[in-house]
Amino acid sequence: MGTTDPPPANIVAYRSPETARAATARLGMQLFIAGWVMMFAALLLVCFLLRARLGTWPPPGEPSANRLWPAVNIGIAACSSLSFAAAIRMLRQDRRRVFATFILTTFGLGLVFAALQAHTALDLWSRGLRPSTSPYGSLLYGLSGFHLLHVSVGLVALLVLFSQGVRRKFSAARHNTVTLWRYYWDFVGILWAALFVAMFM
Amino acid sequence: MDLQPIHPEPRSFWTKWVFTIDHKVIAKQFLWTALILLAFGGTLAMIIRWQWAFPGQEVPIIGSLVSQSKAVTPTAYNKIFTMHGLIMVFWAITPLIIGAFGNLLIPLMIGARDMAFPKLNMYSYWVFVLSAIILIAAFFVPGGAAGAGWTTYPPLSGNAGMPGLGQSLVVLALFVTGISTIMGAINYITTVIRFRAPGMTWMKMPLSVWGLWLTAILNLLWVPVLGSAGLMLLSDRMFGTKFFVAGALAGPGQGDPVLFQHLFWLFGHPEVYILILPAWGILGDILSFFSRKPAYWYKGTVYSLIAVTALSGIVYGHHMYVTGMAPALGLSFEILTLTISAPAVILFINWLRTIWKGSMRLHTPMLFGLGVVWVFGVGGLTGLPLGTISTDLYLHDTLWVVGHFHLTMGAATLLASFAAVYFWFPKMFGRMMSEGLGKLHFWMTTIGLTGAFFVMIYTGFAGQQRRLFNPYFYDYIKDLLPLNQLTTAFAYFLAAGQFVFAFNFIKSVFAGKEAGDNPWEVGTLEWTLPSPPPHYNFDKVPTVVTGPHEMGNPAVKKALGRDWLSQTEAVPSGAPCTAGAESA
Repeated sequence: MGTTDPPPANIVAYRSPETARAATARLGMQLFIAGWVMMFAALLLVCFLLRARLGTWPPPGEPSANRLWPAVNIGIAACSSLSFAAAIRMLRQDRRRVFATFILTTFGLGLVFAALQAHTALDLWSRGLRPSTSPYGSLLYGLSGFHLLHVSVGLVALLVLFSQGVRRKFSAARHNTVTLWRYYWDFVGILWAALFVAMFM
Repeated sequence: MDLQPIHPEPRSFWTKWVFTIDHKVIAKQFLWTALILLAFGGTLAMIIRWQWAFPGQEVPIIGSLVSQSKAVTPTAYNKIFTMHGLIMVFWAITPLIIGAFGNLLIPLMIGARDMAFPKLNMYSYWVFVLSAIILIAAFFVPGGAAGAGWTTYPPLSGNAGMPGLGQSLVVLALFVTGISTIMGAINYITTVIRFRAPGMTWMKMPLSVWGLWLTAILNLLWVPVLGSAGLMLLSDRMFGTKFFVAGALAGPGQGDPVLFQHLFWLFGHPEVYILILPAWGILGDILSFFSRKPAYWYKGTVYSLIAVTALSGIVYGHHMYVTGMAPALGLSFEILTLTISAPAVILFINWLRTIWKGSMRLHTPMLFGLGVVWVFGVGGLTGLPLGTISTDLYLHDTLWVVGHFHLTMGAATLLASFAAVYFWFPKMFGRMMSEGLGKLHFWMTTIGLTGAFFVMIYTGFAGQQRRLFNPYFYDYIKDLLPLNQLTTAFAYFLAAGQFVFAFNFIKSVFAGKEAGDNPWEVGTLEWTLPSPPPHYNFDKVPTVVTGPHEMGNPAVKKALGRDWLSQTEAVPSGAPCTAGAESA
């Protein structure tokens, strides 16, 4: 404290500077993510403990997952986050058309990610693994599915951001909404790396 | 930091009273909802007490709602004691002390115009209402509500133990109310960090705000863990996954039911501090206000609250000593658990030193405050044998545990909530509650709670197991029937006292004596406002110069003719600051 500006004369109409309000919103988003980290931390704990209990992973007789596409997806998640970062950098320079292009790129990479996830799951399904077969199946489908749900929320948000970007709603001075969704998107991406280690390594 | 503009005044009925973004109205919504659900959860407790005092006999008055035979049947009993526990913890005490008073006090006491995210605050309330609807709906589905105990341990809470939609709906309701709690927590934490008035440093915040803020942090971090556990349990029930399913039920792949217990108590132990931290904070303020003295060693109290918050996440194993935990792990949990006594004792001594030689004003809020000190003191002491492995192994599944946690997280938080209701009622509704009826309510509540749970602890020590439908089925418990009847008598005395409260509350809302701006003569920021405050709280955000408990300073008395100082007033020049109010 102590750095607060002296209260302006017309306090009814007064609004905090955009930077102050943006910082408040960012803090709220960071706290939300902190809570969600704990939620997934509990799921990861379950995964590690059940793996330790099962001994072999996958358990004898269960199909082992194809690790290639899940591993590639870590890279795709990283690229989409980089693309998101580039979009924000462009916005800060007020290059709004390039911004929209980068957001669309991020969205496209997200779609590829979701498609590969679905492919991995369908592959396991066709080889006879069901969520009810064993905790192995429960974890693979449950955790990937719950993560994919979060990716889908991000994808919808990216579409909305894109349409708002095309309609020039954002600018160098007004980009906090985009920054908030970037936090979310990075969180979901990093989460996949952690889930990959827990489930496929 | 950040400063909100004044919201436009809500004009229509819907924006003013229903879908409101005003934190004070949301606080009232939480208060009414919580009091109704508290009455409901309390009624369920009375039915349990009836069964243990007069097993198999027809329940008077509400018997036809309990079962067709009007007596408590085993299935009805399971559902009643499960729903009593869940409703009291998640739908009564939580919305009462965190939902209602968190919303009311945080912005007012730190000098903010509203919460950081007013709309999120509104969603938080309505998501809570949705969860309550799902919860109540569970009573009306075929098979009835949940019956696996409030801890919902699998395999009992799985499909094999508790078939039917009711248990699933209740687990879903838990998840949904968790979402509401997290929304509230994000709001509370952000508001305290970003919206304190100029000069409101961390060490000038009222203790109530400290307690509520630390609770919000615990909620944010640990409720999601319960959410995960609930989702996996739901998935086990609905989609046949095998997270918590083991043994013959599971087939070839084995899940782990004890895993649920780990997740539940990872959340569950912080949860007891989630409920008690706001109570401790409110208590710290009220004891100081009514002793007309600064809170003794304010900073020590704050650091103790922080220490308890930090320790609460790493002691949960003491709920699981009897699960066959490795001895080294058990010992670590024992040491950590008993370590919590240190900050708790500091808090306790600070409360006693606060009231020591004070010019006490024994108004109703103060009586309830002293009641908290009393029940929490006894409740805390009965917790020590539960934190110690050697004694816990004997006591774990007895009524001792039930008596202990009812005294600490039940009685102490309830009495603190009542203290808060009586204390801030004038600010919320602009009227005073009746002192005479309030004192009658206090004595009936405190005697009822103390008596019921003392006898319960004694019954547990004598060996009565908890949760039994008909304990007297066992020969060695038969002789304990008179003790159980005594507990029931105290419980009904307690319940009778709540009618006094209901009458007093409703009458005072409409016809109480007009309260002035500052009926208790104290200095925190909410009392500088009219009662009730305008929708924007502060037309001009105040500048804070003094601590929250600047009371009984002789120099102030000499200069101003009163024994208290508002947080916006400087200590008169030449006068020494009193302890705890030093300009940090």
